[in-house]
Amino acid sequence: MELFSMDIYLEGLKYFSNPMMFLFSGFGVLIGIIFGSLPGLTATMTIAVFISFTFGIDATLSFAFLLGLYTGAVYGGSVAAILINIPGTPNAIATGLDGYPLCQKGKAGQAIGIATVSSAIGGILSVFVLAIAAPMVASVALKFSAQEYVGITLIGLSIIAIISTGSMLKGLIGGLLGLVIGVIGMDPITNFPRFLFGQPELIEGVSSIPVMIGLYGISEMLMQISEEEHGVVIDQAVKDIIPSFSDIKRLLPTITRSSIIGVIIGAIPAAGGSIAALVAYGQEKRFSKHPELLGTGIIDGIAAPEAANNASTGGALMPMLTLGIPGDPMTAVLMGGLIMQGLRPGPLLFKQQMPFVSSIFLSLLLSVIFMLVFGLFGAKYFARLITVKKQYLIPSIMIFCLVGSYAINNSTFDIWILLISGLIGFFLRKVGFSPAPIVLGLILGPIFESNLRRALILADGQWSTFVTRPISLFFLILTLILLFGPFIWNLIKGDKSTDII
Amino acid sequence: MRRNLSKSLLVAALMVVLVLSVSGVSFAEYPDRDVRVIIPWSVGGMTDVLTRPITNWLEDYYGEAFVVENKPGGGGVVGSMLIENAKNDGYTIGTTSMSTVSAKYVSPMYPEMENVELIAQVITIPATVTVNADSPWQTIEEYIEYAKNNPEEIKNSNSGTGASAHIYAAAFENEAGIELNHVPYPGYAEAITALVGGHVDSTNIPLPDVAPQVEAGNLRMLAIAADERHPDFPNVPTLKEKGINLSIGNYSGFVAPKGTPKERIEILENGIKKAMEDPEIRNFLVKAGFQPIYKNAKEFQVTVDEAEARLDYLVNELGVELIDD
Repeated sequence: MELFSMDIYLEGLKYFSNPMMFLFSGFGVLIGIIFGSLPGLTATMTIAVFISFTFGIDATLSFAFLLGLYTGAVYGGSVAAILINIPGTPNAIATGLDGYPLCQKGKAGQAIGIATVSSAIGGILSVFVLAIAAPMVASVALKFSAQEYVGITLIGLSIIAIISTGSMLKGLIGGLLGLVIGVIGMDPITNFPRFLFGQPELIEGVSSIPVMIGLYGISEMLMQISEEEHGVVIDQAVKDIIPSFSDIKRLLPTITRSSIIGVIIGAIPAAGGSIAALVAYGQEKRFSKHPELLGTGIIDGIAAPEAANNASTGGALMPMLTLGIPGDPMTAVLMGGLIMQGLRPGPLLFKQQMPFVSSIFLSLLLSVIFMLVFGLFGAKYFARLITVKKQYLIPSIMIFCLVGSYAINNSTFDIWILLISGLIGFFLRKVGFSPAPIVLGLILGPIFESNLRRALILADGQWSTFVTRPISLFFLILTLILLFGPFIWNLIKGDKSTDII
Repeated sequence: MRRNLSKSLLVAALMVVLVLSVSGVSFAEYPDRDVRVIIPWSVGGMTDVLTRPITNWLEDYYGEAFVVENKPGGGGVVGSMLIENAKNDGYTIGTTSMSTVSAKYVSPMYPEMENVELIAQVITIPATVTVNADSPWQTIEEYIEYAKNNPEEIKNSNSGTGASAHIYAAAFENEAGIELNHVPYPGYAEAITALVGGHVDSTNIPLPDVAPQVEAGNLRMLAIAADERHPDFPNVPTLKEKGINLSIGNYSGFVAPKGTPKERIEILENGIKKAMEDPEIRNFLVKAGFQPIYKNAKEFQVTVDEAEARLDYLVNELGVELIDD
């Protein structure tokens, strides 16, 4: 651990005598927020688009910019989730659960304020964990094999029961629907094509982003069009953007807990921010003093996922920097950027390029600060955006949804997926289903399936492998608590009011 | 009569000018404007990383922009077909790898190597036999002996059933006379992580991807499937030295649409040769883990033919079903 003396961080500080570092970082955050908030333009895509601009410039400068994009895009996704109930990126699915209802109450400013501050705290915390404990956390993440992924995706899936507002049964049906859609495409282990219906585009499965934008975006717009009153614009009280000290103090345990969840899940390769945010939200439901209010638009429900998904940024960088293994698709693209600069991410980076590595820590910290500043200053304007008349707002959002879906794979097929899932989403909403469980099922299903089967290959077909491995067993127990805890709790208390339907 | 003659002369002259300008025939030396370089894989991917420094060098050399466009999708099928269908005037070129060849076993629509002109190969990437540093096998002989005595027991991670690392493993099994337990992962990174974490026993993933972990002492490379030893790992034997006749792995090189004028191909072939002779480019490629190797169009053809024959054998004789990486 002699690696982590103060001098090493000071070495990275020298790069910041160049004012361009600040300019690049700030610019990156700004672009990131804008791209992240547009439905369909995911953080991964934002980085992939802009990474080619950085090839000519110095490595530290280019990473100040790219990390700015990364932080900004992850945060920007939540702005869209809060304002128009369309998660800009999958990371923001959980944010919309309480963010949008709060916005409907005319408190968009407050919602964005809480999201910004929680994101910033989560982000800063993850930078510190990254700087101090990266090699340690990364080596823990290595212990995760297919069996443990099964456990962690099960936790994610069990959250479906928790986040379904209204009827739990409908939530579970929705989750199942998502799982079924996730089965379409090539079998992950044997490559047997499933349910292609002669469409070669389905070989790689139904891509989840157009489904997500369709179920959330298009169906929401259709709902609004079909409503009787058209001219209604919810007045937005653009005050209380900067959260009060007492709010932050009250939310601090939530934010800390969620940040830790975010860092750890972010560090596990292939898990990523969307699962982190969901697990944090689920935990909030467990620890909250008034869990019944979650989903109705309370700030706790925004703080938890936001702290977690921004904390996952630092988490995802750990295995990338220390092991050369990207923690999520975004860091996979960032890793390409590092290699392009002639730097080799992996175990030797910390030994050979420590000044550069410490400049990464500082750049990440800087970008979180920029995010905080832009977020709090911008909240006013963001909130005003949705007071635009619906006849202008709805078509513009529709266009963004279309462009975003097309842009993911430059595929017109994805536009069909978007429109079909939009229509399905519209009818499902009419009968009281919410989109979150479907999207969750679709995103987590394939991860669950491939790891379940991989785990069984590794264990020679022994199902006992899931309980004989301690970390896996821990996750399974946690899943059971999450699923049956509330029922058992109510049974003990003698409360018979809990009804599954 | 005279008026008519001068008139027809004028018309003829006009025609010539028109035809020349429309057909884009130019008397200036090729290239005299931007050259599009289509990479059928994503930004930051293997082919992207090795191609950009070379095209940057070519830009300086020719004084014309080489505009790199990444067209990922369908495991390289989308971009490769764009290259095939591009105008064959030398102003659109692209890159190719073994995935372009394997696509026909995978995708309903696929590119054909006979629809492009090869320009030059720039790197080769040998497959390896790599184990965890804590593994009991110190040499390739020990590994093979164990595998022969315990068929289908060694867990070998690959990048997906039928994907490249599985192809290497199947060829290795066949040549070495062993049987492995194949564990498919979504990609190289996940398959290597599983090996570093000790969840599987070995992998055949190519050298550049395992090299950082080998250098860091987390993994041990028992052998490489190349014709000669790698300059960075002089102590690692080749499989051929050990009597296993297997040289397999990926490669990357430049191609142009079919019918691109021969002299333009030669101009590029030459430029790429000069780029590959630049020590700076060489060092970059070696540092990124590749084995730089310049092969002209003719030699490149041999590489491609070998890859086609190998895949054909695996699919039609061994019954391996291929997929994209």
